[in-house]
Amino acid sequence: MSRKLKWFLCLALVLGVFAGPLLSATPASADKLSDAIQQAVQDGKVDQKAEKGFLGIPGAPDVNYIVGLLWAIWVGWIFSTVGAFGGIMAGVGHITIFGLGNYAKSFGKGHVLNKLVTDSIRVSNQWLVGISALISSTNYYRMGRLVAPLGMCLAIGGVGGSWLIPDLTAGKVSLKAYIGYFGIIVLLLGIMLLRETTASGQAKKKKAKEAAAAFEEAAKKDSGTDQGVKILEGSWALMFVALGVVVASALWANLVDGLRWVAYILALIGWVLTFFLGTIRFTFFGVEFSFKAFIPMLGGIFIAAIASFLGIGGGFLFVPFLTSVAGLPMFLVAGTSALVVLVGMIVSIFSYMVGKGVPVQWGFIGAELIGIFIGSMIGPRTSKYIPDRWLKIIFIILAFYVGIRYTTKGFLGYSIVPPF
Amino acid sequence: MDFFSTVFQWVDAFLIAPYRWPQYPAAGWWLGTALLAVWCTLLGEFTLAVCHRANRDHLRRVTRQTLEHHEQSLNALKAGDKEAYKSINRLANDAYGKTFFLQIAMASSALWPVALALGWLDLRFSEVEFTLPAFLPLAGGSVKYPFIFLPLYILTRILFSEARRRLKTQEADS
Repeated sequence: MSRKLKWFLCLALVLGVFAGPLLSATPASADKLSDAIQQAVQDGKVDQKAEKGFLGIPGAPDVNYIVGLLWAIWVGWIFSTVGAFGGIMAGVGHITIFGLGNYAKSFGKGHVLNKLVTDSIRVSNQWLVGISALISSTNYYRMGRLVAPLGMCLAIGGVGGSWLIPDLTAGKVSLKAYIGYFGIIVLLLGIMLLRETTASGQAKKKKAKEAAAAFEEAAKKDSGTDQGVKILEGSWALMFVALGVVVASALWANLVDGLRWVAYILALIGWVLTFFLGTIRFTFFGVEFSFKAFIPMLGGIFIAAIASFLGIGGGFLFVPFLTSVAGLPMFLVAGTSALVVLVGMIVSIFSYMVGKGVPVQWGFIGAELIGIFIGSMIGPRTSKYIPDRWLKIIFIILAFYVGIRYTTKGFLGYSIVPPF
Repeated sequence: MDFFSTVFQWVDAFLIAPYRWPQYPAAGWWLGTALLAVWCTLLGEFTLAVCHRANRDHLRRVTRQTLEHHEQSLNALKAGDKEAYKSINRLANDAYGKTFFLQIAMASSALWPVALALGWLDLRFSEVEFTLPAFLPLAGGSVKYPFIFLPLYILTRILFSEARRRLKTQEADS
């Protein structure tokens, strides 16, 4: 982006903000949270005189910031030693450790405050994930590792998936079901980690290391190749149309009251158009790559739907999907999927917070970020004392424990592992 | 009064002061919020620098490993060995995962003040709505504090990086 354009955009942003709101303040009108609290008071589920807790709800658990900070240090430590499991652990904290899960459930299935607290937990997770994706996308943009057509095809699927799922589930999924689905994803991650530690997984890794060593010299010799991304083939016009239609579906879903079917049809048209995009070819480091446009689109729908539903990033699904199914080099997949996670999270957070008025406890997210930052400094200092394989085994056990506990609690109503 | 309440009261007094400097409340709002964005940027940059300094060697090591595997995988592909490409790409992926999440965790050191600032704004200004000159889809007829604070923060970050870039250029020239 040229510097002039950058400055123009900044100026437009600032002018928009300054000129927009009139410089006057008026009392707030009742919002969704106040309505939900009133409803709960009328139902006798909330004592209006009780001390305010989470989200300012009278009688709600007062989330302990010290506990939040300590839990976040643990999350930061995981992020900096093992990786992807950190996001899952952040979710475990929001649901179990801070007592919000049991509190939401106490309102009973279908109660408006149960749904609001559940959605708030989702959005809290999404804020942490969205911030992460923003930072990594910026880094990759600077490194020139984003493949525009790949990002667009993922976004065609992802944008639709990330508005459609909150639209279909917000306020309709109770915390109990949410916990169940969350458990299934954790189990899936546990299985993925387990595969890596089996004898065949280890043998594969050994073979890969041997192969890497064999190509080590070649790497040193051949460093003058063109390292940028060059697009050779791709139907840009149709790609823009498909993306435009999907974005229009998201806008319609968020801006227009009623006629929801129009948004659904627009999303469907965008997805169908991608099947006519054919194959996209590009070179990276002088090597040619190609992928069928509909493959990342389908992956985008599936992953964004899960990510948006659970309030997680989906990066741990995007990367193996694109390296294994689409066969793309890691750098391109990582950078591009971070961008798609970011777009998906923005759409999803926007849908929840602006479209559906879901509140978030900011101070708590701040305490968590401080904890993650502290944990990220501890991780590199401790990881050298724990072998990589042992770290993985610890997290496999943890993933199975958390996964089984949440799945059974969510779908059976009780946990089959202690505490019951 | 416990330690945290004392700290909070001190920070609260410090942050609210600029809001009360101008006589006109709206001017106070813009001044106070702009200064809050500046504090968030400076504090975030400071802790980010500390975090980077503390993790510098480890970060270099994992990044180098990722780059090595990446280049090896592409060389395997150039040599026509698809099988080797796939397996080394997986190694590169593992190494990248570690670098990626480490950087993500480190990045929180730059952004924690923003979330706390939003929390503080919510305590102080959650009851205040800014009426818009026209009805905006989704936002409605009025907006709340994040609509103003977040763009101001983004602008401050951009100005900060621009100032830093210029300082570096000047240093290099002299």
